[in-house]
Amino acid sequence: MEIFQLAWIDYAVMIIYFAFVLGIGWVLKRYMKDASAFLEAGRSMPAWVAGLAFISTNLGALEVMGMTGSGAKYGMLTTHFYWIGAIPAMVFLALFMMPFYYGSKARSVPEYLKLRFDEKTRGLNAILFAVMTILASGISMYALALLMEKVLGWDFNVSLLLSAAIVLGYTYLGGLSSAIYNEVLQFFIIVIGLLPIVFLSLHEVGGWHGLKDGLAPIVEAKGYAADTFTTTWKHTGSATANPMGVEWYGIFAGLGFVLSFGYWCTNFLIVQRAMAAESTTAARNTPLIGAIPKMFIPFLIIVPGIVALVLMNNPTSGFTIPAMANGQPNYDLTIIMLLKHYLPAGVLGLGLTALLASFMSGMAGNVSAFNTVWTYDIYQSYIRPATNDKEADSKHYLKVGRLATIFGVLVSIAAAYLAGLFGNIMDFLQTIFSMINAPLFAVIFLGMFWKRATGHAAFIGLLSGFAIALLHHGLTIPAGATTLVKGGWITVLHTYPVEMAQNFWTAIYACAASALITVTISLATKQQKTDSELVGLVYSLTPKLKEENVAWYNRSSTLAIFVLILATILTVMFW
Amino acid sequence: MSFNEIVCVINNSQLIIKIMLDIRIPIGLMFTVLGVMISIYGIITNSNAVMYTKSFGININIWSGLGMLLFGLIMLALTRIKKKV
Repeated sequence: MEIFQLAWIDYAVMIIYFAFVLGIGWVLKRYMKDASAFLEAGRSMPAWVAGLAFISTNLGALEVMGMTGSGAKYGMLTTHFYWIGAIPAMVFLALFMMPFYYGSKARSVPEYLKLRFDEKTRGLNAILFAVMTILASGISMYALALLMEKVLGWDFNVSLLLSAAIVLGYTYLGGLSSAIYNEVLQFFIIVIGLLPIVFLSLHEVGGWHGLKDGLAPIVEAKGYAADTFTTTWKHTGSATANPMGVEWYGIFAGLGFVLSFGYWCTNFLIVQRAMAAESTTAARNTPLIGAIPKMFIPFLIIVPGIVALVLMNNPTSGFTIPAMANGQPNYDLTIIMLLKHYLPAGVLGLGLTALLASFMSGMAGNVSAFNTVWTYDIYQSYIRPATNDKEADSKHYLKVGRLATIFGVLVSIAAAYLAGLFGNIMDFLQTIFSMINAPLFAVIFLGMFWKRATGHAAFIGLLSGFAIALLHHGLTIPAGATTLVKGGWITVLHTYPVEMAQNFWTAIYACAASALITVTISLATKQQKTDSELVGLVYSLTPKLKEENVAWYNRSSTLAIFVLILATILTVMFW
Repeated sequence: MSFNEIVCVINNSQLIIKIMLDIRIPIGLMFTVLGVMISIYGIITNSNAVMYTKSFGININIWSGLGMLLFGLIMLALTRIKKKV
């Protein structure tokens, strides 16, 4: 099924966008004189640039496509991934964690673990992160090529290699700076490219009130209260009253706490953007500035998804979503079908460019995080340690960082082909890797706020949290699952109504177990680090940050209050 | 900017590099170019009623194009106000 016939203007828009993308890399090339410039962007980014890149890294194509689809499946309940599932964690990262990540001069999250705990904890995290990142990059490359083949009728291999070449081009030339600048560019093209859809889709159904009226009969036919799809918390009193199948406390604890804190506060891919900021204040403000657009992204991608649900149920609209093999609509294609439904040549090219851009910046983000962890945490730690000659070292690590970029892209291509051959195994690996974050959050949190936490405890805490997550996944299953990839590969002790509930509880158990074990072993082992070694790494031993010399509107505390008030207003408006 | 000045700027690669380092400039330039392109395309295709039935007779190209042009120019103007990247 070829969905689109593109006009010359659509190709022209794409070509201009990618010319700018590569141009930015080319310009930044001559500033890449040492490893720090290439791998850490020289710690020189203004807060607003780092903040937009921070949010853009998360706004990948799989997120855009997935969240629009979730809008059609769950309605406004999907906003839980934003207002409760992201904002509190971002504020926490900014206020309480960034001072240690940034102030410790660590160049990566694994390096923070090395400074705070010990070498083995760093090694474990660095290796898992490197593998996971390259895998994620390969999977998103595969998804992109598949989409281009199906939707645009382009050759799969050509699409894959072309997108890999563009990503390699600008990350090889300009390193992290280039990735960050392009993420900012991508942020604006996504917002501007998708706005016509928001406008036209709401126009068709008669605005927000028209949307509510149109939804009522459809939602009632599904067996829910008429306003279930346009409210957020109202119908979360019981798991059966809403399509997500989770109660309010599951959302609050699972999504709002464990999953989101695990993702936003420990994922180096995200944190790296804030670490590239120009000062401690800028580093703290980065997640807060990112939080402001993050709050409004639901209106850009979830609301059109909800409109799609109304259109699907109205035969005169002519809107359909292609079915999957099992007869269910393939909700991941919702955004593509909306593009087709509304956009004439011209803006259509813009919308498609926005999607392609978000795929590629996702890959570039992964590659630029991979080469930093590889160069500093694996190569410099285990293969060739730093010498006394700082200048020669820096040149050497710059070369290694560049080679790691090429290597990373090549392995991603291999992973993309593997994903095509063994889709299930890749799904399974991704599920497994998603289990790393929850225990990691428990360990880093204890490390930052409890000076007694020891290296042995952190290492065992990470491993055992991961083991508990695996065990929980092996013993439970979501209702209707047909493959062992979804869980239950040991034996089935419990069945969850939906997969999301299983994910929430996997993370909750893993985080709790990891925290408990880390505390217990810390109390039983001796702290190897002296108090003076832990200054700048642990809350109670670090001098409090003073904000008096920062203008009041630039202070992180002011911004944080503003962000929280805004999120509260949105939550109440759509309660 | 006159044509000669533009040629002069293009010849001076050092200057290009300096300009492009402020991310607002490539963003501003790109959206100005895309904005002009898409609005002109919208004007050319304005008589094509069939093409715009999808968007309920609204010429979405002209509106998006003008919006992008405005955004691009604002970005470029911002670089004048505060010199820092």
